[in-house]
Amino acid sequence: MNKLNNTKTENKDINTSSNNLGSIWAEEHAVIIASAVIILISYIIFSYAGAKTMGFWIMFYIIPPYFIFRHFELDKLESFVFSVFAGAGVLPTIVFFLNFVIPSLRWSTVIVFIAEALTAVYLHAKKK
Amino acid sequence: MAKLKLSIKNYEIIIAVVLFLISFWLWTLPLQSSHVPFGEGDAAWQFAAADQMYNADHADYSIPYYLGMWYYGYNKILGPNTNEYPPPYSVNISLAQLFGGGRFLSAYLMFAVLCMLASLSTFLLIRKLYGILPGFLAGFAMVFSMRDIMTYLWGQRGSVISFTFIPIAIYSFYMFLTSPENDKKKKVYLFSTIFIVASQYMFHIQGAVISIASMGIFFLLMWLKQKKFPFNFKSLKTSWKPYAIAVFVFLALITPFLIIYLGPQETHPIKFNNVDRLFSWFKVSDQPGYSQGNVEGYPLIYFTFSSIYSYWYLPLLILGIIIILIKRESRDLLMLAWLIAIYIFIHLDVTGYLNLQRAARMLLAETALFYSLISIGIVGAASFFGSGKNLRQISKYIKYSLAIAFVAVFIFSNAKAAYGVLNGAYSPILRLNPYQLEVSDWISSNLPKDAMIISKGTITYPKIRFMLAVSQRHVGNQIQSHINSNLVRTDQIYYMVDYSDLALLGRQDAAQSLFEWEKSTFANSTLIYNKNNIHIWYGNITVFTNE
Repeated sequence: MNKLNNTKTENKDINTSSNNLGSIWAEEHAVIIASAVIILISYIIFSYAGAKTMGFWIMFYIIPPYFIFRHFELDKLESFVFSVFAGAGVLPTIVFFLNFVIPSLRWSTVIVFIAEALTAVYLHAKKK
Repeated sequence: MAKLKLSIKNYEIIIAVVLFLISFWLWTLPLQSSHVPFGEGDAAWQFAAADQMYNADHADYSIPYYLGMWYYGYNKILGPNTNEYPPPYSVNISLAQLFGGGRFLSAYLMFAVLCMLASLSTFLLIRKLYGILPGFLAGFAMVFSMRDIMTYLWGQRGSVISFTFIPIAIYSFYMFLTSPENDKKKKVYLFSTIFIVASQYMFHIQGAVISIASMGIFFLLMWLKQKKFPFNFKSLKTSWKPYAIAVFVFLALITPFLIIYLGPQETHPIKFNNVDRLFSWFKVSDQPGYSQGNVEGYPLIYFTFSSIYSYWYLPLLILGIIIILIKRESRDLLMLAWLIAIYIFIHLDVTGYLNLQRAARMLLAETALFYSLISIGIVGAASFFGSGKNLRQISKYIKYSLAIAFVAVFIFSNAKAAYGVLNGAYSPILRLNPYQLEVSDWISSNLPKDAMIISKGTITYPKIRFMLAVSQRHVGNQIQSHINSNLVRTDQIYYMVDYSDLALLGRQDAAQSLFEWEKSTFANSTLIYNKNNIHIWYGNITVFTNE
């Protein structure tokens, strides 16, 4: 019986998470498609290194701050452009200070990315 | 209907992304032909500052010896070998290298992307304040802004990036100041303003001061317009925490880097001169070098209205200014504040506080403003045709006709010119050739970290400095001044004789005369590198310049 209940809960979680993903797609498909197009064009022009660079730029600087701004009810254009500009200076500053504690720019960036992604996910979950 | 509503909502994003993609394709043209770094001396310096972070996987306030011995290495607070810019600027570039995987390509893609963002910020500002058509026109024009493109190509990229922030910074402040007190978003705009201005400051302080001045002037103009203070202090009593946090966050972000800006040994004695410059927008015809076509290191096209814009746009620009002066709505006051702030800063040389070269750099702030005003002029021109039903229809046709005419003229003049400049920028001979890249790698692996190398035969000064960046050793055109200042010992010195450019250019005569000079000069030295028409000599060096 317990096992059955657990399965039900798991199914519910899966449904909730797929609903969440569905709602993100419904609301934000323009930004998701735009990001994919930018990476694709980078790949066409500059091959793998170009796509990786622009993919990093979008994943680190744009997507998490975009969802954070969206949580605070800024519209899509504002959220997109604010992420580009606010992220360009603030995120590397946090990485810079963190790399005094964790002596690696690479790992400091990974930690900052995880922190901003978790913040975005938390705010999204809170909104729901 | 829901679908239609959704797609209308997405219009803005689609236009923004289209502008981004056009900019991306255009501004990366110099990279599409070759991934080898390009630019003048400043470009090599800024690349080197980031590249050393990438190689060390670490960043701090310092720069390596080879870079500190070049210029701007001395900070009166932090001492020698200190970064000239707040390090987060270079961290951006090094992160692109670390995660993108291309030492040259990833760094230069990041430079290009950050430099071309004026199109996005201008689009957002004008779209939100004046509508989608003027927003598109202003954003589209900024894609091809020749002054920004030239400065990006030369390499003063920190400045270019910083100035791209101005429209978005003042927009965010405008939204903060004009949102009602009970609007939740007011606080969001407060924080976005803080983050955007702090970000801008990381790239160059010049752009940040124009943003802050524009905000201050806008605040005063709103005060005059409303005849009451535009900020409700009572709200501070009830909800002071967000404001306190915002101030704290702003100070926490900018204070650690103040010493970078306060450290250089520059003095600014106030001394009024050339006051008649106040009566023109940016007069250079009376400056030394004007007749030779170069003022303070800038070619004349940097200053000329017809080169940066076109005289066709002048009536529209004037019309735009007239419209904001007549209407004086809050959004118009923001544009007016931006105009006044730029006027003040491009004339600060009159007070002696800035030299003309720095004031000229401030002109980078002008292009987004002028294209915004031109777009307001285009849309506003049509509004003179009245407000009756038929007249409104005619006015609409005129508006779109003018916009189409502007885009057409723009494509065949400014856009064509911008494409030509970017597509032809820095041909292979003006970048490091494969042999120079190879010798740079050899230097990096074989010479000590404090090696000082003089290069002769390399055809341009920036190429010598890019060898410094790539080899991570000091490579320059002279070391005499360092020796005179007792900064360098003679056993640190190496001499590179580089025939590779002359060979690629087929300059046999020049190569022969250089060879004669080399034979007589290094008779008592040891040849330690001899490959691909490049020689490096060590020991008993008696010549400390390449002249």
